[in-house]
Amino acid sequence: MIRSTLSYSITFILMVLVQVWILNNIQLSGYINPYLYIMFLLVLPFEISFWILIPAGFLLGITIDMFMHTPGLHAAATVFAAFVRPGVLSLIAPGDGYDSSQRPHISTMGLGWYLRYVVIMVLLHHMVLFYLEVFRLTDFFYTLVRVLLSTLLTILLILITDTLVYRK
Amino acid sequence: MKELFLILKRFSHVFLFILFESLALIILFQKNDYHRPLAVNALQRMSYNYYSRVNRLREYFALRETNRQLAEENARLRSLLRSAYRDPGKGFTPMADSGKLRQYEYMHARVVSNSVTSQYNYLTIDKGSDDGVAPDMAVATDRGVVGIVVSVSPHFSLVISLLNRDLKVSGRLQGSREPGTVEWPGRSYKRVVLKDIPHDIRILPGDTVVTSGLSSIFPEKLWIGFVEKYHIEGGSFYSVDVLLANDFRKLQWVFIIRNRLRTEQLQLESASGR
Repeated sequence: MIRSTLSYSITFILMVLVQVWILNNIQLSGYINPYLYIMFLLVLPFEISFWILIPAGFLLGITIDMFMHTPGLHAAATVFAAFVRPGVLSLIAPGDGYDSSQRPHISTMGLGWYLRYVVIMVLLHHMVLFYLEVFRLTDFFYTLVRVLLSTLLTILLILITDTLVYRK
Repeated sequence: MKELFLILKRFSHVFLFILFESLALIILFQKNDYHRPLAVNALQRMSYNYYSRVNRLREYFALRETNRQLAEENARLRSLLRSAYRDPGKGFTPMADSGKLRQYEYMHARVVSNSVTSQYNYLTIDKGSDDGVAPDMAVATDRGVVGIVVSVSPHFSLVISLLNRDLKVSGRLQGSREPGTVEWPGRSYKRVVLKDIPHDIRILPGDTVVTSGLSSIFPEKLWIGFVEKYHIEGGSFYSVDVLLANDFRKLQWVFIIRNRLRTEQLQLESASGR
């Protein structure tokens, strides 16, 4: 228990550092920015309780906000992502449910399941994030394009990270 | 009572979600202008140090471009030297610069962190309160407006970028006196919009857009960009698309501009009840 708490804390710190030190400095085209940090919410165990998940989401978002000078913006998106995670998980659950010894990774759950999980979660998070940031509907389709491009990039980074870090 | 408790328990996760989500939204919508205090905490200072280091590397790759800009600026400054002018002859004496009151002071600074992808972009520069920087000083390059200092730590300053939807700057077309508002619509990092220009003014694509000097922050006639196209908006006003003079993605060196008469101006304005 203590060991896993420690390892998740380290994951948290690493995710935040990679986001603010590296990814926020790479300006690919001036229009898109990947948000890999959301992967922290994705790697948490299946059976984690709401009482940890939602505060953890808030903490993740508000930490990112501190670095990006966007108080509350990322926090709102991560709390939403944390809230929908259990629903998404039960929506895409395999026939025999989840084994509590399993962890949500490609190596344990297979690429098909993992892709569905990541696409839904990242898309929902990015939607809330970008539309809340723009906060108007006049540029609806322009923002949608930004959401989709950044989602693609984030998903790609998550797939690479998961393949490299969470090998069997 | 017991039922109420059961309902609470049944929907506890929804309540938990609403609690944290409203907390985030309250923090988000609390800000109503860019002067909200931004805490410069230990974490941020840590990231500034890192940015400084990354930037040293990035500067190396940009040497060619920086050299070109410096050479250009040297040439421009040389052309301003008195030796570049012909003697005006007997009639009038050349203007005595020392007799003039210097209103603006310039200090250079390096950009250590910058963003253009958000709707509310900021940049960090490596001069702070120890160097005499204070909030509300203008930041620009020799190519034009960059932003305004919003908060300072001893060695760094946070600058609200012109690419921030909270920032509005008073601007006009060079050659006309009608001021308009320059703001960023939140799309391309290459363009801003100049609004509220009366429609009886002649505009040509390529015209220079400069600061109006109608604030105590920016000096007059600082470049902003060049007219790309324009259309009539709301009946009698032009909305002008302006191609920015600065490439905000590649900002390296900037000036901080201090208006020495700002306090005096503000005092006078507030004393007369404005």
